[in-house]
Amino acid sequence: MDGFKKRYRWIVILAVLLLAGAYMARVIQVNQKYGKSSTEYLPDRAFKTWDGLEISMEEEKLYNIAAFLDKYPAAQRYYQYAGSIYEAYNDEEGIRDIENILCVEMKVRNLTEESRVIDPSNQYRLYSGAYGSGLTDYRVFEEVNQIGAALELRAGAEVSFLLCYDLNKKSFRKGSYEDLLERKFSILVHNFPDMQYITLEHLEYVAADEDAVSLYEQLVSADDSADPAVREDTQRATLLPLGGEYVTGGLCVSCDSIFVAYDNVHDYEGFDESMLPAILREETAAGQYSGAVDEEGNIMPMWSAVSQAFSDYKPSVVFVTLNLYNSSSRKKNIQKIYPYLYFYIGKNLNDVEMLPYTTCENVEITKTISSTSYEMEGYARGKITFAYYCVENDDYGVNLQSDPLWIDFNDTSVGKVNLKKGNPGKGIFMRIQ
Amino acid sequence: MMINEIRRCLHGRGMKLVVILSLCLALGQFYVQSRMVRLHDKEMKIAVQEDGSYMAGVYPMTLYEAFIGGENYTFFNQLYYYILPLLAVLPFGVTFFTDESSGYLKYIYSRVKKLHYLAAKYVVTFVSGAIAAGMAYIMSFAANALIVPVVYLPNQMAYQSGIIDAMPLSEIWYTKPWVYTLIYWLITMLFGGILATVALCVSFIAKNMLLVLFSPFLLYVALDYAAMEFDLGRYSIYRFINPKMDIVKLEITMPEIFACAAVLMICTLVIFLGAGYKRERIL
Repeated sequence: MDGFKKRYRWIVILAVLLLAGAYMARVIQVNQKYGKSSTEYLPDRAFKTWDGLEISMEEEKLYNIAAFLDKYPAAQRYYQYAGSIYEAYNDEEGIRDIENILCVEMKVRNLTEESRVIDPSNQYRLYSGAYGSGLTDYRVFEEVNQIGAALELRAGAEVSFLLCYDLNKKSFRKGSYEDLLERKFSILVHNFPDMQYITLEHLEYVAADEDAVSLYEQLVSADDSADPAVREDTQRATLLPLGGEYVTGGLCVSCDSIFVAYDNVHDYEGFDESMLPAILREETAAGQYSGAVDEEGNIMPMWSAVSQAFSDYKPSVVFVTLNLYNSSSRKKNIQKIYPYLYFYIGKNLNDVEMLPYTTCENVEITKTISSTSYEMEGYARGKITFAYYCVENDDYGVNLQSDPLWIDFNDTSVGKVNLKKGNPGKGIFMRIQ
Repeated sequence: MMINEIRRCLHGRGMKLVVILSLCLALGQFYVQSRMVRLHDKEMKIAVQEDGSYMAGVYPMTLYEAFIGGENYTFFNQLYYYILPLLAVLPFGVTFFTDESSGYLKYIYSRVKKLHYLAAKYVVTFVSGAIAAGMAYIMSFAANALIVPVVYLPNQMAYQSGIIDAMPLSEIWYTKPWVYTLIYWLITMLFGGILATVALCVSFIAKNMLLVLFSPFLLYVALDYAAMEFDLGRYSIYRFINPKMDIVKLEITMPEIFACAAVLMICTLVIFLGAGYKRERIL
């Protein structure tokens, strides 16, 4: 027995050692597969060459935002409160978080014998310790440099441009934003695995004078009181009837039309074909399903993440078109108009899903790398259409073509609601059918 | 006394159950992560082939973001941090209650000084809770090392996490991610240990073992709800011990985290030793 125990112990030890050895071998193999990466920090004044491009930094300045907008007036429209995403969400403080803008003049020469395309808005990111940032809005790049965001350089050609980076104080560690010149900033010019950064060693601060500060204050002011055409906002706990109008920050919204498509989204006359890819049915890596239609536009059964099965109830897509009117003289961002669809007893259940489908008329849509903005000029009229993916739940006797429908303009919790009995809770609802 | 309690803890069913549960969590997360890795590798190949180089950079996944404590997009990360108090209390949290109920405590008190026993009980409960809480974290790290490399990626574009300069230890994350991972493992273990000792305090007023068992979990969840309700989400233990619970980290600091730990530990220590020393049972 003792002999068996000894042997057993040795077998166990051997097995553990073998397992440990196999584990280490596997870990080493996994790490070797990706090779070694390198990181190099280079000074900014000398000429460097990577992949046939010669890059140098001509000028490095840290502008107070007022000084930047004073020097580059073409960029002012992108830093003003009126018409911005900050106005859309009544965030008067948020727009002031960008107090400094870092600008670098970069010269790039193509040393190869072929044309090369560079995209500064994607390629040259700014880093400082744990802080990282892409270029500010590509439209600012285009306005300031008067060139397109993506540049094609012929063989032997060179180009100079100004790279501008917004430094938002909320992204920086407490206390370090006041002392930005003490931080080491660098720009990534070559990616993984051979990463190369150019260090900005000659950064200078540019302060703003009184006139520049005064201009800046006007741009970021949220004061709309001098505009007599602006209507009073709809208050919370309001149930707007059929034909009613919702007002927020001078934007007036009313229902134009509703269409319920049961079989195919092309049954809706106003369907925008370019939006079809955004609502296509797809299977995700986790085995779930997103999207509402197939490539022909046929509406597919809704997938329930809760029951992990397709719903038996009849699926449909409801298109809701809203009229928009900007009653103020200033440009408005309409992004906060993002209503959810409600039906029967006013519960926005899992049976309704808002699709990534938005089409507009007379609304200026601008897409950047990280966001899309929707702006209306002063006194302009327009339309916006949303699409909702729904099922007609037989248990509740839902009929989307004849039942009352509402849309909800809240961005916070509405509390207890019963729309059929006229109780909007703390929300703002508008009846649309 | 301490050795006796340690022996009881290690040989108890609670510890075995924790090992099994931690293994399940780690292997479940490993399975999901292996699918993500395959998908990521496929996307990387496509991105590189399309135009030879990807302008924003093509980065492999790194182990620091692939294990249960390094990511916040799988169900297993959320589950792990949600049931952490239950894991912590399982090995040894209810033994004071069972010792009292069975009369074993009287036998112990006849042999050793009350304070020695209480101190040993507290220390072993704390340590067992810490080990139980940190087990799935380290198991998952070890398991994912089989499929994800330890790649050092010194900039934000490479990571899923969105850790920015304003968050605590962000500088360490980008220079020495292994230190960041280690610190959060220790924080998880620290709070696991503290939560396990909450069960000891509740033992004085509970009549039912289930209440003792679930009391750390109830406190954990109640604190989270209360913190969110009063706009003090940064003080919710559930949120700040998760290394990748990003939003809250914009407001909390490391000294505040350790201050919370110190306050809780002092409270549980004082209550347990004080109440335990003065009387055997309050109710």
